Amino acid sequence: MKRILLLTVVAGSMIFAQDDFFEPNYSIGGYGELHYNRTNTGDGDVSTKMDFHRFIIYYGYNWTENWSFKSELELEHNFVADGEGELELEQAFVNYHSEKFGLQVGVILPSVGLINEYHEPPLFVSVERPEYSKYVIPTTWFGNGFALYGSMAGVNWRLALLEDMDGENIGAGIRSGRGKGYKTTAYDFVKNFSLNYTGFPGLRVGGSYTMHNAPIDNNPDSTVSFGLGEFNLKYDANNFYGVLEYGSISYENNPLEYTSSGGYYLDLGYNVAELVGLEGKLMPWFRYSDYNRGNDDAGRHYTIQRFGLTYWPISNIAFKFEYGTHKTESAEEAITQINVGVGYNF
Amino acid sequence: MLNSSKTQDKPILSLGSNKRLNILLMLVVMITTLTAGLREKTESLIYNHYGDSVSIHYKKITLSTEIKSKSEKNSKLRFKRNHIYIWEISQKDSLIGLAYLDHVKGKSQPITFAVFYDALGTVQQTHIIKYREPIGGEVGNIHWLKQFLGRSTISAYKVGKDIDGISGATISVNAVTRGIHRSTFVVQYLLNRNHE
Repeated sequence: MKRILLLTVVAGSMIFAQDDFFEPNYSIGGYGELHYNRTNTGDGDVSTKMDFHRFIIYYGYNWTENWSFKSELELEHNFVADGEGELELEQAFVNYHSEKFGLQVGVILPSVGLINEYHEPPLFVSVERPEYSKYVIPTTWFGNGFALYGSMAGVNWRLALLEDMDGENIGAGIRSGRGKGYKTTAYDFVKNFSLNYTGFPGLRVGGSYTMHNAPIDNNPDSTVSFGLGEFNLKYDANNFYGVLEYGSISYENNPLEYTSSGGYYLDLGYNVAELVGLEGKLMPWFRYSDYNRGNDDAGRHYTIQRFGLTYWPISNIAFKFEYGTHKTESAEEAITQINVGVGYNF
Repeated sequence: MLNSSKTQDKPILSLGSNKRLNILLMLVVMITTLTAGLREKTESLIYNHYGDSVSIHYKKITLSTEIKSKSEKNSKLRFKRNHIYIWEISQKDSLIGLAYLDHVKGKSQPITFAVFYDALGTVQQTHIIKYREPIGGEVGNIHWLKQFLGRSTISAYKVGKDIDGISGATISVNAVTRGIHRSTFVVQYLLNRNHE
């Protein structure tokens, strides 16, 4: 009798159970990268550096299918003290997601370039992120704000509004103007709109436009204005690998009196793992990059060439080696660089 | 048909010798149902693919330890639950295919996917029925999913070699690929049982 009662209770409690596969739960992930850098100019002294550049933990919680929290906490250079190293909350937002559109509110990333939103080391071939993704696109660019996103006919769109930048720190690019979510003003908002298409296997093609009137010394009546337009393309399939990113920034009232900056980089590689009978992915690659950080200033115009070899034993781990030169237009000699690194994500 | 019983959701695979547990689970299984939205969407896709003239028979199937461990071992992906959903597709009383519905874990949320098979256990079509995250939704792209067409238990499923990766969707790509690979063993097992 007891057993029948028990079964009835169990059955009764489940009559309305709907299986939709979702269960509220925590999620954890992360990435990191160790770098060895060796540089020398001509016959000059050699300098070397070992750096656990980034250690990141993702942490999230899903309340329902639609509502979740996501965050990314980053420790840079393994140590924080006396102005060395950085501890940053790069993402922390409440996310509403449905099949038609989504909303994110908190510390968010603008959608600008390939690497700002997708910056896990196994996703790019070089040891360090491309310089383009530092001095043209100020990766990682994050701040307080909100974003709306969605997709239609294979085209993904996103509109993000973020805190003001520091106008007085804009100059040779916009990198130093980032507020990083630290007690920023919100007079004008950084306005970022992006589109990308991922409908063809292995291909991602997109672009974005970002504009802002950045207050100088927190004064909304005195601003530095900029417009950043960029185009990005990545193809990674059938053993071919190719990346092209191009970006240009125009300024008004730039403290260094520059009216523009920008540039591009091109990566080409081919996966030879099968040819040499290796598991995973083994890719020799080449990069060419040209960018300037202010008009035609020869002291801020750079050309970069790199040859590298990257090995992914599995898609989440990458071992990287590269050799190349970095030439400033006004300098007599190029800097020679050798970089070795390992990166992972999970 | 795989099972002559008309009782919907009745498991056709036994859990083993523990009878009490069997009765309890059967009762539970008989009363939990797939969310209407997921079921409707899957069935609409089934009719689109196999044609409106087919008859479909929906079942929730509890996996035996044997088939569970075999498919987990071969696909290197564990089942989070003991059951999956199957539709038998018939035309004029003969089985012409099976539709399989299950989920895998993406970066933080489940990805619900369906695989349509012919009567030999070969993949005919794959669909992402529900994707719940802002990043990695490209696995739902029809061109990417087409790569699984014609594959079965004996095919290769290595991401980056046999299956193209998607930049920025690594976790979803690996999860869905393994989930589809895992489904081939379950479907093959069900079809073999039917022929016995």
